[in-house]
Amino acid sequence: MTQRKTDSEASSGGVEVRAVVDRIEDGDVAVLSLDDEAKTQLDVPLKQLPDDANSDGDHLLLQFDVDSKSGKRTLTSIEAAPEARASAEDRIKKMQERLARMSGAGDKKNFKL
Amino acid sequence: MAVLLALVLIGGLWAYFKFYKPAPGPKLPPPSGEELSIHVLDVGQGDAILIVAPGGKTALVDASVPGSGKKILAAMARAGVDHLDLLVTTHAHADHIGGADEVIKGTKVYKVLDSKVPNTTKNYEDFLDAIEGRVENPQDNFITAAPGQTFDLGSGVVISVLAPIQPLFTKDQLRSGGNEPNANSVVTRLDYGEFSILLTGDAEAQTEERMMEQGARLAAKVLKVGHHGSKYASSEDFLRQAKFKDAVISCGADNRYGHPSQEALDRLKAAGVKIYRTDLQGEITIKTLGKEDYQITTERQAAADELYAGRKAQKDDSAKSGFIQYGDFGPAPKASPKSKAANSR
Repeated sequence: MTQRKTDSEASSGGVEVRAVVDRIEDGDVAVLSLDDEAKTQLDVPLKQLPDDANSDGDHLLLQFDVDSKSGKRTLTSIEAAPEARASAEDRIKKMQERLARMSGAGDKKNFKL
Repeated sequence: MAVLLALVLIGGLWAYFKFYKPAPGPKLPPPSGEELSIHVLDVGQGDAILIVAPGGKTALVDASVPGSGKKILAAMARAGVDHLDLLVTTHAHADHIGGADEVIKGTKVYKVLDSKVPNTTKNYEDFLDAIEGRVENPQDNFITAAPGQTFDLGSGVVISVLAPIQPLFTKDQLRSGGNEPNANSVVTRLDYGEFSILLTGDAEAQTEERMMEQGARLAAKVLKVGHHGSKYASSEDFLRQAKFKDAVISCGADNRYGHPSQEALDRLKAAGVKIYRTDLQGEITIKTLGKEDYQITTERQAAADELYAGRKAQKDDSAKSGFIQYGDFGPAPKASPKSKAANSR
């Protein structure tokens, strides 16, 4: 998880959290997968996303303001993080290639479980 | 001219329905006559379907949202299941693979069947990590789904792969509302004697059309409704061809996406399909001995009119120019008023 401050550290002020557009539901709502341990999902209206980061798999940087008294978090900005996407794509491609190289299932059609 | 065109059209339609024959499927073994159970788990806005064959072979289709692992493992324990012979991950969205790494780490998983259409989420990376670390001989057991594959669970229970069909859908081919992971969902059917169920992941109308064009064996007794009852899934033509008797919708009461949609429910109703919903009825269990009849029971009861009432999508109609207050998007719209009428069969 990439945060400049954790929630507990932020008595008031900003918390930065990385997120990924997991999917767009029926063209209206972007479901963001936050880069935290719980992989929290956050629904955001699609039109709130930056024009250059509003598709499945796009990486984002979210900025929250945290109210010191109530702990309420207010999402104050969403920025595209294209380098993070490129980096994730590279990692996943390598993982898939490694697993594919290992894959011997090939053209086998019938599997007895 | 118009009359001639109409005659040609009518003749074409008649010939299509008269002579169309789906591709022959695999030769299926006879059913043992013992009980097969299918549990559509109540896992909120996601899918997780546990299959327990008579001889003890097991499969799980999808693992719902992150954090669902415990719930799935608990359901497995209730069903007396201590391993999975097959884990099918229909596609890489978090409402389907969310708990997959937790399941793989929490029980013995022998084979994983996946579309291999990636996502760039931590969730997907964790899923691949879990396979690499926990599934024995991934060189044989992490399998790319392809139509024609069959997975024999013994006792006459066979899972067959119908989609994704090559070449895979690309982003530029998709209609409004579509995306590649959904369109390339792993679609399977399970056959056991006279019983059959179609498991569609988040496949929508374009995928349904492609399967129909390819002559896939779609006719089945039960449908696991595509994409949680989205308006873009379960097209009229698809329902007409497959002739389902019952349909199960796996969705959460708190979703903002309008699942299930009124449009899909209306199409199912018009096709004479009886509906079951996890958001209103909890876990849905199907039991069959492989004969013509089968039993569907639900954890809770809901009225028929409630089952056919869709959820409204949450729209952002605010005039705010930029930012949303965390939680300011509002709670998900409620379904129709609760009713206590019985609905198990």
